[in-house]
Amino acid sequence: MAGIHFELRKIFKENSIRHTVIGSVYSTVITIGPTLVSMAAIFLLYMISGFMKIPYAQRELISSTLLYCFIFPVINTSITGAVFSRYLADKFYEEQVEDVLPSFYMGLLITVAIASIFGIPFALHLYYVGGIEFVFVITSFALFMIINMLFFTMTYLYATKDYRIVTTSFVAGLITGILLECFLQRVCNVDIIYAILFGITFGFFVATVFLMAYVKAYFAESSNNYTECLQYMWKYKGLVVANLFYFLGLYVHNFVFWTTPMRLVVAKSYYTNQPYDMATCIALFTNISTIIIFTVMAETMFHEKYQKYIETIIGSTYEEMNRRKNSMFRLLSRIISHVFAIQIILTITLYLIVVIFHPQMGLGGVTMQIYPALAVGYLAVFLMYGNIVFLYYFNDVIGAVITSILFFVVVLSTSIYATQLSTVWYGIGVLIGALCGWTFSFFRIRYMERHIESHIFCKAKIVKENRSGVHKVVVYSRDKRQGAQEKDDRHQR
Amino acid sequence: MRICLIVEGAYPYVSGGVSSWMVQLMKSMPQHEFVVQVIYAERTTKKRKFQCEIPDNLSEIEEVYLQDEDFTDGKPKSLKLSLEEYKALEQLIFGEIEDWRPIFELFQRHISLNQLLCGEYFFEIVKKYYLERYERIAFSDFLWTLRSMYLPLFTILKAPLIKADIYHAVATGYAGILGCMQKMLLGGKLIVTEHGIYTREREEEIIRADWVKGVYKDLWIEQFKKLSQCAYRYSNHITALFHQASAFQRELGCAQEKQHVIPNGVNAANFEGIPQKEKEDTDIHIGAVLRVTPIKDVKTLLSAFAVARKANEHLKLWIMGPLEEDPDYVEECYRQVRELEIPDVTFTGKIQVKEYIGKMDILVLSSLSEGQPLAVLEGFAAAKPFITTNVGNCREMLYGCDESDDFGKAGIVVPILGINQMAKAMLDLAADENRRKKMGEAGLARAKKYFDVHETFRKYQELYTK
Repeated sequence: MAGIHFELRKIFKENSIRHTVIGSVYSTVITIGPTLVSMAAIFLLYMISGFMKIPYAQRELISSTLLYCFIFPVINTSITGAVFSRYLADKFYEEQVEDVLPSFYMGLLITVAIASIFGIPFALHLYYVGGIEFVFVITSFALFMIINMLFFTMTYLYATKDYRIVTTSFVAGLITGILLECFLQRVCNVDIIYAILFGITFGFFVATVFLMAYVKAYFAESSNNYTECLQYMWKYKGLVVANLFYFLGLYVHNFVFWTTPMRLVVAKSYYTNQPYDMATCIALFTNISTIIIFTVMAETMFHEKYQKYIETIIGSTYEEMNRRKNSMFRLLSRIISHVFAIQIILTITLYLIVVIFHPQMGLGGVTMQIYPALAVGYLAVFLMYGNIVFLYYFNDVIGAVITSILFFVVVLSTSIYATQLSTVWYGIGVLIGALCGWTFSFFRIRYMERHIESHIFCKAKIVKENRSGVHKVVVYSRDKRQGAQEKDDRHQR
Repeated sequence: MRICLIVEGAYPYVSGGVSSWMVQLMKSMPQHEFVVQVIYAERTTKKRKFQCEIPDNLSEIEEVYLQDEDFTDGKPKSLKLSLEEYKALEQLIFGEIEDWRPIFELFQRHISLNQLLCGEYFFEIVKKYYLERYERIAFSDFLWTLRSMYLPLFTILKAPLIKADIYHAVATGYAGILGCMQKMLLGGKLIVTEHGIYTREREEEIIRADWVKGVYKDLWIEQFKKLSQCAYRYSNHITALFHQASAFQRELGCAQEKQHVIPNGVNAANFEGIPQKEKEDTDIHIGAVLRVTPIKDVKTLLSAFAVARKANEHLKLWIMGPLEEDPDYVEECYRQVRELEIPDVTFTGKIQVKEYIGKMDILVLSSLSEGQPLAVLEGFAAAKPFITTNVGNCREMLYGCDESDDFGKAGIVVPILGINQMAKAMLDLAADENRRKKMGEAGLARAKKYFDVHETFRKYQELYTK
């Protein structure tokens, strides 16, 4: 989210309630704005179309399609997201903006390729085994690819810092989608599930086209340097792994519960677990503000301290460097405890609201049994994410990789174990995994605090490596010369 | 006996005093086998051209480099230093090293320089050194300066070793260090010959240099002192060309009992019957036998000649020596000749000295720095008067080596960069043939008595067999 700290610092500089509210809204828009807009649009579509009136099987088909079309692109784009974000930051720093557009195209190609590897077999399965109509399958596949491209494009949109265009494009696209759905359903008498699918697909298509066009216009110059970003993927493979495993960990417990007898199988292709997935969704939204609070604190206060510390590395005395370092780590500890303190209040409040109003929200008993463990689990997940961001600040990719792999492995294994426990413990996998990840990342930050100097100063290479061994360089040898001379003499004779 | 001559940036690629001395040394001892280890800045893909004679008893020439890739045998293992190695490294950086053996052994393990210089051991030592002595300056600059300062030394210490009975380093500095390491790890004897005083020369260069500023000048000077002190400590014999140089060595920590003064030598007999100037030639030929490089200060020579030429139209200047070493400087000299419109200046390029030197009336050396220049000795052997700047041993060579030397003046000594004094000396000598003759004879007599080449190399032979 390059550049967001400038905007946020501007807003939070004025220490008033109004500015705090504006800042919080701004951060919300940046962090989860597109997700909220998308969910609101889908919810609105459901309401307008009379979604609840259609048969259960059709309802589940469309819900499962949308669930898959959103979850898997998140995982897919996590492969490229962090590395391309790093590439952009470097290119801005090096003032080689002409390399951005080619990398955008190459990134899109990679994203589409990976999406196709998984998407095409799934679509074929849906058609041939699931027996779903061709038009539905092809439109779902199109939606899946569009969402993949959209999520990848978001990385570049953060770099443009024009968050208004992001929100405007989403709103415009989704309004178009709703209008199309109404037109198809009411004027053309198209089936509701088709009208919804066409509406959503077209809405996201419009938003994606707008946003991609904006990226193309913003980074108009192109160096045609398409391959450098691929070298980045290899060079920063740690970032790929860290990001991928974090997102896999975020969803792997759902995949585990999609295999239990509680699962629902739609069209012999879509596996879901409605109570568990719903509990996950509410738990996620109960704690999503952690990301907002963390973003505000990290990008306003910490970023400044970090920058000041980095400045001292370049041209200050050791004493000054040490002073800045201590000040930065003191703030870091404060942020970790403040985010936790604020979020725990919010989580408890939202938890109580959900518990009290769950009948009105249409949440079933099983969902409410699963929800508490997941609510606490997601609090720990987002706090762990904050630690990972700090590790990224210190360029500690190894720390981030270990954290995310640990998180993924523990979530996976404990979730498998939790399937045999009673319902209230189903979400324990996320909690234990996140606690393990958080604990490791916390101590890794402490380790970085003690070793940050060697981490910064001892990573360089002063001279080119050559592993061929040390060899003599003989530029004159009498024996060889004599040998050659004797050979010449023999030749002449 | 196998003798390894270790030289920095000279033989066989650069002709001149040190290279000629090496050729003379090797040729004077045909009974010994010689190998040459030449230290160069970096390797090149193009083969460098030899500029010097290769004697028959020279069996091999090997290059080692100050800047090179980080060669390791396969993927380098993570670096672990023993306590002894760590202490030695710390002492080296703090300038308090007592025993270089752990350092030599460490680098001959062919460790990765990246791992050492950019690793935690080096970082911690530099940090400690910084906090103790330099805590008011920017830390990262300090760290990187020390890394770049130690890189050439550590690169040299990884060089492949040559087995020899005697290591003869033709300077202290990196050549001296290489000699110390080979002597210590392979056995043998180490002799160090200083044609100039390495530490002083580097000090002068660093003081004048633009690439290093402030406190870092002191650090670099200290670095070269460390290298020289190592050579002084571990060598068996240290030779200087003249007594004053020997005194400088003692000031820098050289033990008196190891010291010897062995002047350069010339074989005057070789210059008998060399071609002389035509009798009907009324011009006054001024010759300068030198490489056209900044250290020889050819520009001052040209300026002085320009002044003198205005007063005496018979003067002709011959600049005799290779032009390949510093083409930019040569171009600047040509430009100076054009811009000042100096007539009768000839750049001959590399020549056979004996074919030209007899035809000269006066010889000149305008150097900024010298030890005991061979060019002056050759001028003496040719019985020519010399004008030299007051560098190295030139004053003693021209005016008399000691109290017993009553041959008289063999030329005129002028200050460094002294354009007017040099011009005046040219005009004075040009105007007085008798004086030129007397000075030439004084020089020849002095060369025969004090600078006899046979005596010079007899003394080296003595050191080798001692």
